[in-house]
Amino acid sequence: MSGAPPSGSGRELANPPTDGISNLRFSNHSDHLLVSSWDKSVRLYDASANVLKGEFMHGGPVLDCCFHDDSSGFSASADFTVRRYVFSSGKEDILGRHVAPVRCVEYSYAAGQVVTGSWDKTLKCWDPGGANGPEHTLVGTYPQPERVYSLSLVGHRLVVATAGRHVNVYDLRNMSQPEQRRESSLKCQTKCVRCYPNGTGFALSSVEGRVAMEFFDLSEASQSKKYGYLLNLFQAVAVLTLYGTFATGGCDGYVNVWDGNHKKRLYQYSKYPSSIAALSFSKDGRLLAVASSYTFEEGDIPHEQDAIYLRNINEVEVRPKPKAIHAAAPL
Amino acid sequence: MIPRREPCRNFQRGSCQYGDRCKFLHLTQPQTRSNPFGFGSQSSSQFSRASQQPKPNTFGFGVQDTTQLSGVNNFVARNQNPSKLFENKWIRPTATTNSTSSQETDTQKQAAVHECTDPESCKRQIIEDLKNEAPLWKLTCYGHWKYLPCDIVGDISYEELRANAYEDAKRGLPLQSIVERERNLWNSKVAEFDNLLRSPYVIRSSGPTAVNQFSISSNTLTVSPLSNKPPTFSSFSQLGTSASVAPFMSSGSLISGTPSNTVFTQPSFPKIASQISGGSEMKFGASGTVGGQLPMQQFGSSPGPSNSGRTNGTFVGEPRLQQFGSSPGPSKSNITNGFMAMGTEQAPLRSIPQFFSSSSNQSSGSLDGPKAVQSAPNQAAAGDKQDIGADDTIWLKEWDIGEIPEEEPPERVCLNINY
Repeated sequence: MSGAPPSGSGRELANPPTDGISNLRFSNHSDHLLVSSWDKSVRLYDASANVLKGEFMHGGPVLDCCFHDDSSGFSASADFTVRRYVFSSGKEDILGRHVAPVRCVEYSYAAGQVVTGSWDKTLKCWDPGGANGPEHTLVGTYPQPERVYSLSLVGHRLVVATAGRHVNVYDLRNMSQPEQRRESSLKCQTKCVRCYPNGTGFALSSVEGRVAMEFFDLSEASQSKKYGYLLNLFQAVAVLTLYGTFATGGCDGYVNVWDGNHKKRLYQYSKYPSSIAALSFSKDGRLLAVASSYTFEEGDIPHEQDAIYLRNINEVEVRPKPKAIHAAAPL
Repeated sequence: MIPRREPCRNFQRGSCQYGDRCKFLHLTQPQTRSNPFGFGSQSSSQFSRASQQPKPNTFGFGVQDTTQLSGVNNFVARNQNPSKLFENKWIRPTATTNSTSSQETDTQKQAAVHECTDPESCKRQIIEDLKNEAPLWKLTCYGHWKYLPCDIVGDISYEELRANAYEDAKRGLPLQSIVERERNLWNSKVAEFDNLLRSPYVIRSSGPTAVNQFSISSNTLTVSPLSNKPPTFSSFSQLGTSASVAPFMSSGSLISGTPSNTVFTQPSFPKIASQISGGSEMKFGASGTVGGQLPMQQFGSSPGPSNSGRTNGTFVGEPRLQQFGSSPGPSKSNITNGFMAMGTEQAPLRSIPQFFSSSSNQSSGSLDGPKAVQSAPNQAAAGDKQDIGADDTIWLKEWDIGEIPEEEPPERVCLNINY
């Protein structure tokens, strides 16, 4: 177990966080990577250059982060705050607070708002343009049936997954009540939810390792489909690529790329030394950042360092296959 | 072994139990079958819900569609296919032409109409799920049928556990107690699942069947026999769940017809938490819970459970478990997952009761041997202490986890569970 992962895993990012990685995201405009960690830091890297460009501290473990644009971003922390950063100047401030750890943060370009979900069972929307401190930025608070575990945005739609397998779909233009209230089609606790880039639906992953593909349209023809197999052990972290395929990573250390339509695995990357805590594709799909971070599923045992690997993606690995192709060996 | 020409369908789906021994080809490039119709598009016939009528995802319970029920049964029966690992769980009985793909489309239609009117099918489904696909993360909620509310509520996420652990560590709580707390949490949840397994929806008929095993620890939920009302779980008071219980049953949706009681009737459960090891036998199934989707939300969610209305009273809270924020969660990063027993003090899982409601708390004296489907390690404990005395007070006392009475509680102290 010790030792470097095979070179096929990609190169390792310099100066990774010192504790587990909770999430990482590529910017939509460049190869900047924002990483949030249990070591209370939010770090900004230039992934191509493999350079740490900035580091910001919270009062508690940072559970999520996202970009606003290439020069600013937000983070959500267990210290109940949502913070905003301006990377170029190094400035940061508190955008707002919840009353419990804030689990997820997303920025909606369509609405121009920051959406955060927390274990205090609320969703809050913030206006980052509000310049005068936390008291002026809150746009609204929306109660959820349970603690918020994950949320995802596409266009004007917001999907929120909570404990107890609830899923709420909102239209950001009218947040007074959810557009749809659903229960997860998976049987176990929801791990994360990701919307399809084409806005037709979302993928829900659960702790049992399954992924369900669901659609916003509730008509008969669009009912959800579900994957019949276990995608990854234990934790499934799903990320959607440009091509409509998605990648999952689990506690087994493998990252797989799946074709949702055909329900096939397209590719499997070589094993990473630890569980996969987070995945992110760069905007152009050329890079995949993999956070390999021991997630303590087996208790406190000696483990690999937390690390972030960047791998260059070949289109063939993530593109759905229109024709039969034989004998391609997995990497 | 010479692989045959055809690609292995299981491998393409992600898991082939034969591995190298498989006689089909394990390719990474799957053969395509039809035109890729775009991600998420609905055009493919594979995904069309052929016959069954569509059910919106928000279907409520209690959809009375008996025809579907038989379909459900078939479905369940068909899914009892151990050789396929996790693959066939969702196969629709009416598989469409596209072999593998269609087989994997979950039978949403089927699911949509699953009403839990047939406890046996629910039970089979649960058993199958828990046997073949027991989630590695035990602190999960669980619903035995997709789209339906949870049977076991009160899930905790890994991050919550870890955050709590860090908090605790910050506060100076010794690692050991954090671990202990997590472990209790873990165990109690496992016990909950065990109970679910043992007696899901046993509904009616016999009333408190052995279920009583709950090892519910202390908290005694004041067993309020004879009343379907959710017992006032004193223990829960912490969570305040007791109140919640009420809503529980009513939900028509759940269990069709089952009395709400289900869960609550078993007051005793609350304590399951930490120690469940005794094998909480709560059979919840027995009574009402059936069908249940008793959403017992225990965790975190406010003390009263009832998720979104549907859940009936869930409460049960596990108030502890989640107490995020309030109680220090598993402290320390190390703990985080470990499930290290969550602080003992806290733990009593109240939540467990939910299921059990059906079987009156009685600690089933006889304890049927836990069917053990998944037996949590701790379950073994099941202490049997019980001093069974003729004294009814024994049935009302606070049971420690692991205590199992040797006899069934007399009817008079049993909750009246009517389904």
